[in-house]
Amino acid sequence: MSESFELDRVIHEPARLVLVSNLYVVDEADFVYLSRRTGLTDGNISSHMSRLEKAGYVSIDKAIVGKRPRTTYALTGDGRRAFERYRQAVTGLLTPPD
Amino acid sequence: MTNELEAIERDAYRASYSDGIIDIFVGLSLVVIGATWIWAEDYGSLAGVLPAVMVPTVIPLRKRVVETRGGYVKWSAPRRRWEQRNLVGVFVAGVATFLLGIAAYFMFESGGAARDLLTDIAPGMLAFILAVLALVLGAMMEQRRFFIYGAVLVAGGVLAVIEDANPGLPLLMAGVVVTAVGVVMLVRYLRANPRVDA
Repeated sequence: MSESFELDRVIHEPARLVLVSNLYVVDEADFVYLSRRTGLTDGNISSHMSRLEKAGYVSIDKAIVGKRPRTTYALTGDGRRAFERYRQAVTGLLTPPD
Repeated sequence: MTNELEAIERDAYRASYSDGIIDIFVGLSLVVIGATWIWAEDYGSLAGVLPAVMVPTVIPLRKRVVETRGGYVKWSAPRRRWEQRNLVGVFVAGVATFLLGIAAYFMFESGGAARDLLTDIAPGMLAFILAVLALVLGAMMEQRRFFIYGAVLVAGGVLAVIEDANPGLPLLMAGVVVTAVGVVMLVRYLRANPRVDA
């Protein structure tokens, strides 16, 4: 496989792809929102978000809102650019030659 | 954004209004205005008090219910701009409705054919006007059920014109329908989205 078809493995994992896709279309969202929208388990979301944070793709903010804990996630600039590159790579890979 | 990403965002936005609280608020307001018009016409001006009191209550209540059960989300800048444009649209529709009411008053006062026409459609006029607001609200929230509410108001208005019924009747009828839909939606929402810590 040539270098142009290399996919970002951090984003390529199916659960992370779903999480990143959902975060890409909003500015930020909390744990509950992502759980409802993706159907992923709490443990899955936590572990995948940690992986995305480690890659610098996601920022995580923990706060107390109205006496309740809230964990908010947002794609970083690097995360947005990485997702756009990933989309271009997949589109290039799947588009049949003329 | 691609169509798929747009669909993800659109579905999420629509789902954020699936709790039915706005429907209950709108429905109860219609019930109160309609019932006051029918049974307590002398206190008609007080019918607007309940909706006015409910607005500052409903907004924080809804935020509390939705954010603890459906989650918190900050929509993208284009979506927020779209919402602001629609709020302006609702405001303009409200002002247009007000001006329409004033125009109708002067047409009525001028007498002649206009007076006869307004007298004929008077029982359904408020329902027709509120139907337009329901359509605007439906378009703003991307909620098709508000188009159905508008249709119910129009149907009630037509019925009131044909039967020369009290103008409050179509509002009461539509209010009961809208409230019932809202209650069903809220019960479903609460069942499907148990409260969790984020």
